[in-house]
Amino acid sequence: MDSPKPTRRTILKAGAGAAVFATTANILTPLKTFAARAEKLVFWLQPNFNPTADKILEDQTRAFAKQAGLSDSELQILKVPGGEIPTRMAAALEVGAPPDVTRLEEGFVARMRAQKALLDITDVMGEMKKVPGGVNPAVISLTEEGGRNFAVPMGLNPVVMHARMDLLEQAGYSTFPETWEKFIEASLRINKPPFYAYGMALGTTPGNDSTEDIMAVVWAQGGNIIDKQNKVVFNSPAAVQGFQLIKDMYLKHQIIPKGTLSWDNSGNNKAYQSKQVAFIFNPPSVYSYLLQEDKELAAKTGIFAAPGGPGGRMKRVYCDYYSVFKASPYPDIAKGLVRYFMEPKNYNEFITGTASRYLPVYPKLLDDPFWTSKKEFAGLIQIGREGETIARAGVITAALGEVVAQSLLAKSVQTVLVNNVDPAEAVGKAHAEIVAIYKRFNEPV
Amino acid sequence: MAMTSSMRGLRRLRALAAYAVLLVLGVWTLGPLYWMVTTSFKTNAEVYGTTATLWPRQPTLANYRVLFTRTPFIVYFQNSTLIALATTAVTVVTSAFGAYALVRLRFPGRRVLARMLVYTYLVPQSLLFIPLFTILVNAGLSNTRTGLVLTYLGFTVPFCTWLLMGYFLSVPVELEEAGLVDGCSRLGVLFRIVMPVTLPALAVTAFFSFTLSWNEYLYASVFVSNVNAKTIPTGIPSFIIEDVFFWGPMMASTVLSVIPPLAVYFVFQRWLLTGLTLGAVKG
Amino acid sequence: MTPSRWERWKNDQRILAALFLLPTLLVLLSVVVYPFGDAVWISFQAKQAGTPGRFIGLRNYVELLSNPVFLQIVGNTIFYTGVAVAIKFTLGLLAALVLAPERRLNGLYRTVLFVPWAVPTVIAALNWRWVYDEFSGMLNNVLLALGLTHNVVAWLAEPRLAMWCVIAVAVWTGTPFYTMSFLAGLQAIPQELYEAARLDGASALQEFRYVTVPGMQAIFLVTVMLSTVFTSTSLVIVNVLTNGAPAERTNILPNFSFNLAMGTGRLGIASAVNMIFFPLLILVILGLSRRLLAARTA
Repeated sequence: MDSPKPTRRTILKAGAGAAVFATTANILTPLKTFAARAEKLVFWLQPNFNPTADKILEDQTRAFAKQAGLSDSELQILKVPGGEIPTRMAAALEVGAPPDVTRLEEGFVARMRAQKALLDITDVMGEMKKVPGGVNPAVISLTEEGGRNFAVPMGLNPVVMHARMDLLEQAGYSTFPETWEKFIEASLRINKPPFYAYGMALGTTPGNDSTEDIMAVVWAQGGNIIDKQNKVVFNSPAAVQGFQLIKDMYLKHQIIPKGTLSWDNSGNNKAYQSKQVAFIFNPPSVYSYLLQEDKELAAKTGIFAAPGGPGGRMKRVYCDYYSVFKASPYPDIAKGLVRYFMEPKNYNEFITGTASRYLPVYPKLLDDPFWTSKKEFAGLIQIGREGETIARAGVITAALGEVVAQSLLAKSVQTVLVNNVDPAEAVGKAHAEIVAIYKRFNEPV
Repeated sequence: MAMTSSMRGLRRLRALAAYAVLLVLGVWTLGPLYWMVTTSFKTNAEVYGTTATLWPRQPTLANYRVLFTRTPFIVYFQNSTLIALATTAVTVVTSAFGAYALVRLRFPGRRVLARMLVYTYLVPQSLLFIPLFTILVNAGLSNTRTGLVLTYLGFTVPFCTWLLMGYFLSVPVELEEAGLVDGCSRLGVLFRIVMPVTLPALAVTAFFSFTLSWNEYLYASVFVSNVNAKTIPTGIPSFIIEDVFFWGPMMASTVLSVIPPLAVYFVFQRWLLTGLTLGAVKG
Repeated sequence: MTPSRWERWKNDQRILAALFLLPTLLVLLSVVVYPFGDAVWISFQAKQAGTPGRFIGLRNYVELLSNPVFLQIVGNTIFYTGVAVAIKFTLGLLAALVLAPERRLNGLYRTVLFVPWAVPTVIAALNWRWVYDEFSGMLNNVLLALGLTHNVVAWLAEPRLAMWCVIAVAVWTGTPFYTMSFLAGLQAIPQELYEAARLDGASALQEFRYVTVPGMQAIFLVTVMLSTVFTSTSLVIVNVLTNGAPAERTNILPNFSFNLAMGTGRLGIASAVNMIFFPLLILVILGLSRRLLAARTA
């Protein structure tokens, strides 16, 4: 058998071929910049878990487009599920073709701001501030850099406990437990596998539910991720105590369904809506769904702040934002869309359409009969007014956003639950990883 | 030699064992599919909770209706079909010519090329998608169906060329030489003698190209975000819109999207086995 | 009469070869070879999606190799691939042996057993995720209905079960490939060999060992080689079922790399993950392929 050794000629030929292609590919680069985009406005619409709200948003976008004189083909509305945004955005940014306008969650705003990918929309923010009652001040700071605004808040998500009041009453409780210890007590009475008490989100698929659920326990003990100076302070006895509590709930008391470790963001919603668990910690999207689709269950559901502890009772809220990307070839049209959305009349239509999934960023709108007429909303509104962000004392930065995006805390908790790692060790490791991320983003630790 | 009763018993035992194996494998194969089909016809109440039914008690077409009226499923279906057909057409032609050249024609570097062919097939998509990204963008092909077809050729062409090489090897050289002696040119030999004989092989190539392309997920999800160019495998998971019940319509979409590759398989079935026998075994 | 130029070209093997191979070469160079080189280059950079890359030498590799999670995932990948391939091989061979003879219903069965291969992998994975669902899945509902359990099992979250459940899905989607290949291989073995063995008084087991197995050697090799590559580089099943949970027990390298690239946007280190793994894979494959290719171009 003759040995198939490549001759020098063939190697040279192959090399030449590869070189040709390398140069060709690089020559094609300028072509990209010359290719004009047909659409004048590209909006990534993230579904709001509520078909009515989605339709309102879509209609408003079309109305604006018509107003701006765009033809049908010049407008592109792309439905992108929130869970897909990180992937899509990575692809789009790498390609140099992000959308013109989309909704961003806090961590992403921080990240995009750090990458200088967002457009200065201070003028839009200014108009919003002029609305009677102004804008909720707590959520503006994230948009600011150097005194200019690079995003505008568009909706507040209080994160609340949805509780099966009928089951609590049966177990002898007249109100929702105020501390985690009492919560566990009540859960033990309600727990009847395959029906579980607490659908605690502990999954690591992209989404922030698990981080919220874990921090609810840690905060109650007095723990925090960062402090007022944005220094990482996660490693603390409080955090260890929090992890220990979670471990007890999962392994000792078994009031959490085992499958939560592989839940995505919709896992706890599904579990509650299909009556498999008694408590979940979630934005009121679940409640708003129930109001429209399952009034019987809605009637049995109570909305409360998470149980508290020595550190207090956490009132958690996070905000979503609209942003315009700097790469947009038609920035004025893009800004116009955001302006249109945030005009009080249009905005109120959207807010009431989402039926409590969002709280308005204009505090004055809370006086609208839609909110004052239902007593269930009272708790919600209070949390909306008093709620704190994940940064709590400090500020949300790109690094913190990364910590949430990576589900770092959930991964850490899973090592405790699955690999039997000691909570103190897990907390210490998590702290080190958080510090590493901050260093990678060149943020002070 | 007359069959003794023990031999008959043994044979019956063997047949029974064979049927048992087939039964188990059959249940194993069809079980999940049964679940998929029945879920697609169930109402939400029957789908969720531990009271989920094994057979729809109130069969409904609602999920299919939702699929067609509230999602761009039809667009995905069209895209998948177009892309699969285009990929198949280009692959069959390209690999047929390439395989023939590598097997029958003599030229320097033949062996190196053949070996490189297999190696390119082994380079995983999970590695290539990162740089292919940028390349597609620079060529203005991201978010396009054409771009997707081109990237698919990266795995269909090497595989099908390799398959066809096996087939061409099984065509006796004498046939071709006879043709040459009769005054046929090399090109003519290819078209008039080799191709007709290896038609089953070409059918197999078409089948693999179509199926590989129809089922592809990674490239389609990374390179395309525009609904207009999305394919079924990437469109369907996006039905997982958080906080909303979706398994019903999703199972409906999976039922529908399994039909074309199955149909293609039924059509090509008889060629598949003969084709594979020729090609793979010759290795 | 001297042949015209066209006549000469129609017969010149080298020109024809160049012509015939041009499309193939074009495709492969542009969508495989060049991107591969690019991937190597990117692995030495710190590259965040959307920003230009910065050369950092071996830092990505150091970060990976000093991370125990990475090493755990390498172990997972080897386990996952090894077990899945072994099971697929066994089941595929079993099915092929049973389906090879011309029995009643064998034709129907051949079609049935092939169906998983026709189902797109992502769809099969979604389907199985629904089967494994803790509260509403088929598996739990069947077990509860049969009275075999009193409580639901979280198949994809139980640390000791999760990987096996993922492997089961890989086996479900991948076995038909083996069955098909082995069926073809079995049918290519000449009947005379079996008859000769029977005349010599060989039992069924001996027939299998001395006729079937040697005749199938090439097919075994090819199928295992291809399947090893496919299984170890496919991320769809893991991504859809568990995305690595619980606690990275089911995470494998291609999924890890994908999440780094698309989840956090760190393209450089994602590429480095592939670069560490891929050469290992090729070394394993090299030995096998050498034998085959020598025979093929003879």
